[in-house]
Amino acid sequence: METEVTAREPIIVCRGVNKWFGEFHVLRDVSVEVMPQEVVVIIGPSGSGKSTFIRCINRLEEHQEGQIIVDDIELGHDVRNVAAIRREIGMVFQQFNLFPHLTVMQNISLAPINVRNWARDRAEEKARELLKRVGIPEQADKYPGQLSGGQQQRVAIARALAMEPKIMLFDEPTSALDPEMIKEVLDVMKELARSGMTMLVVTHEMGFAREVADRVLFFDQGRIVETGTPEHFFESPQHPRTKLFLSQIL
Amino acid sequence: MTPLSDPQPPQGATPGGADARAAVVYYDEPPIKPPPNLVAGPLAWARDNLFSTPTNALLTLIAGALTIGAVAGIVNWAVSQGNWYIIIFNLRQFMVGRYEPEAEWRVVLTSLIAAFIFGFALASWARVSRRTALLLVALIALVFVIPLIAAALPLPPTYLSASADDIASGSSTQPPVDQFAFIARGGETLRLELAVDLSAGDADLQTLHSFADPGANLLRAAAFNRLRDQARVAEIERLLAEDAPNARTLTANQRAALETERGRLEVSDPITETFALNQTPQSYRLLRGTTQEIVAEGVLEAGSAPVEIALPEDGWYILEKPGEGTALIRVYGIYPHLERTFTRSETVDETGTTTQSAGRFSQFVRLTDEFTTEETRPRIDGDNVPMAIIIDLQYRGDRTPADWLMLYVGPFLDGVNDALLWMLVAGVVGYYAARAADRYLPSKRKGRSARAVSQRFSTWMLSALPFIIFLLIYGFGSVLPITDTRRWGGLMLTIMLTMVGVLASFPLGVLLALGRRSALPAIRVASTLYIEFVRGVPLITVLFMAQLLVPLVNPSLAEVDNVFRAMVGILLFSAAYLAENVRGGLQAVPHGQEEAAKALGLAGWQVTLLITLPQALRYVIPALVGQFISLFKDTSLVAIVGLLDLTGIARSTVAQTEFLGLYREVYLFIGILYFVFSYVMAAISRRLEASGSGAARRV
Repeated sequence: METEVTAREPIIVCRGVNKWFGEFHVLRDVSVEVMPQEVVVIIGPSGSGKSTFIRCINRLEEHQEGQIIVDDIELGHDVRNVAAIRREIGMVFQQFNLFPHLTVMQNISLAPINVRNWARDRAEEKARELLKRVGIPEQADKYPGQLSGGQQQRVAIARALAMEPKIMLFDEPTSALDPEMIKEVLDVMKELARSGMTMLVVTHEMGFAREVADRVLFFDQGRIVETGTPEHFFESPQHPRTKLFLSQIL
Repeated sequence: MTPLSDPQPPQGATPGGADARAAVVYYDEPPIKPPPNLVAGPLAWARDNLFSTPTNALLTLIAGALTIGAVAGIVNWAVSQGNWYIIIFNLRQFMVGRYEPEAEWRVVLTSLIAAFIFGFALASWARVSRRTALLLVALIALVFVIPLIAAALPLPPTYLSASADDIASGSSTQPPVDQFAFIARGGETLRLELAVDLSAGDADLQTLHSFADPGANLLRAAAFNRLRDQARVAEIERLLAEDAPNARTLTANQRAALETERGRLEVSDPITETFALNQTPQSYRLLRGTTQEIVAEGVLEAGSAPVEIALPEDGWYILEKPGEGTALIRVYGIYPHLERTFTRSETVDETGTTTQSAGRFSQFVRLTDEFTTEETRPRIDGDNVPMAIIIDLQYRGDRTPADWLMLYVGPFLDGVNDALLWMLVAGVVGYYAARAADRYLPSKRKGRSARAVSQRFSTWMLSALPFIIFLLIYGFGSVLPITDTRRWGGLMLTIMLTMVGVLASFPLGVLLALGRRSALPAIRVASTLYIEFVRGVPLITVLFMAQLLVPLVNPSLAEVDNVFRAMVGILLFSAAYLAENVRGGLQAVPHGQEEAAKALGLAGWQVTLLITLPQALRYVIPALVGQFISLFKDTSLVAIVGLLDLTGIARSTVAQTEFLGLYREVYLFIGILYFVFSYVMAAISRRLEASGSGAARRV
């Protein structure tokens, strides 16, 4: 995928983001900037707020303090802003969340037709192109229930890409998959990263982080504890919490 | 199978052997085999499913016995006892009530259109297997063949009593009927004889089964009672006898009770002897009803050949049988009939002469073959002559299956098989139209299933069907005159009420369900209040409110037809239940679905309309269809507020003097009708559940 600008401007800016679930302080002063075409991998123990953080970026969760600015639009209570930003951000979920009552083709072409107001033919052509890109062009007329987990997740990626988003969010995309299927999904994500997509990925796949990430964020207890390039992060972590985490999972 | 290129297993190394190193288990590719055929034939099936354990076997036997007992009892009664003339005679009422006869073609057209559309939809969503098709053909053939068989069977005789004095037995008395009027067709032969075979006395008399007048029936019943008492007395005497094997087991109380019973039972002399049945020759005269001229006269003697009288013309006849002694005359050619009154408008032919004057007319219909005459009932000396109406000339005794087939099933099927045939033709035409559409009409988009074209058509037609039905039956504007809804009735009214109830309550129910889940408190509270209020009130109350209270609220509403007010009551009621069913479905849709849809940028209403609602509705198809089936049956409550739906017609039919109190026949009949429709709805819902992504879910 070719991008016309290699802009120096960050595409996502978070400043001092705070969020509470009831009394529980789930995000604490999170500040981060993501540049276009950058691949940011977020890791951390479960309950550390990493999923909540990326869900704030397309406002599936509301933050209560601080600023989130995506593509020069600030997320707030203005519904139009939210709608405009969601059009530009694709998201892939741990549980795929494909629409079971629609065929693969309908799943992918639904949003372009109903949100972007594309003609059906154009949307279906785009869908076929994307299915070929994720490697399952022959499954277009099946229902999600007839596909394997790995195939479903690839359809979910195609569905998000159909809106031609500027940013893709991945929320533990391989956690619900059998080990044999993880690779096929990661391959699609690697190809996507190489094509220049801006990506925020919450994952436990350290191999993927090492190979693809431009930057790794380590979350613990709602804060960004440590950040750095994969080499730096995995070879010489600084913070004791990071060292402990890495020693436990590697 | 061919061995893989792997090395042969090393000597002595057994898979999973004692040495803990990894070992290859398979060197040969195991062959892929078809599954073994474990189940062989119905016996094996029964063993595995019906008699797998002692408990299961016991349950099977109990359930089987109960089912067979209940079904056999009802069938036996239906064949040998039920008086089905009430159904045959009132069939039109059961179907359309008092719907204007001039508009009846609209009902016919509606049925044909519906049959066509259902045939079309069947072809586009399902396939009729060869077996089903054959079964259907066989069933239809039966519908046509049974009347033919029935017409070929000889009609049963009629037994008329002739006596000089009252026939008295026990507490019942029948005065002699010297003159007896009946209707008959010209050219028919009336056959009279005294030759009732009574060689076995009362034993013959009690088995007499056929049409019989009250006198003949009294004799039959008397013989039956006498033989029953005689048998009981013999039984008691056997028990009381000193040498009976179980004499010692009788307690003093039991013995006293038996003796009292024995004292109460008086066994009279044989009925045939008491009345000296058929011992005296009987004189008879046959008169033409209108003119009272003599057609034939003579004397019937026991044992002589039957007398045959050719009837000269259509109309009334009077059989005179003054009676000497007591006799049972067996007659072929006299059958029960009914009086039917109706209003007729004037008919004028081209020359301007009135061929039929307007007014209220009365005609007599023979029940066995619908022979009709409009001659007035004969009177002698200013008195009506007793006649062969259904109350007096009933089929008595246990009917044989042949008589049942000929008297009821044949005429009933004869009455409906034209309609069935045309509906079948329309259905078959629809079926093949769908297949032709798929073959010859170009599909708009590539890559769709072979039946996409007909499926699109059937969706449209099925959606239009309710509107077609309503507009045709009710009428619209100046094109089709509006019909009088007060005359709607029977199955037609039931279907209209259900259809409107279902269709109109559906959007309202969905809105209420969404409202109850709304984030806006005002909408949520209003929806909840409505739902809970309606669910807390019985349907009958809602119907009464619609009929009685609404006009008090606003007098102009009193002008709205009762039928429409009932429809509104039903739809308001149904919507509340539907809302709760739909809400259940909405709760079953995982939250992730909504999130994924939002993340794609769909607006809130799009998320509901495209994602959550379709899934929710699919989840609750079984519940919704269940609700619609119960709504279909609940429409019977409108009978209580005075509408003549299927149940209302049933209630009014059993009040007809000719058929007074034939509850069992009528309610069994409408029960079958309700069942057939409910079953079809349930079958369609099962198909619906298995369609589209439902089919995928089963994989």
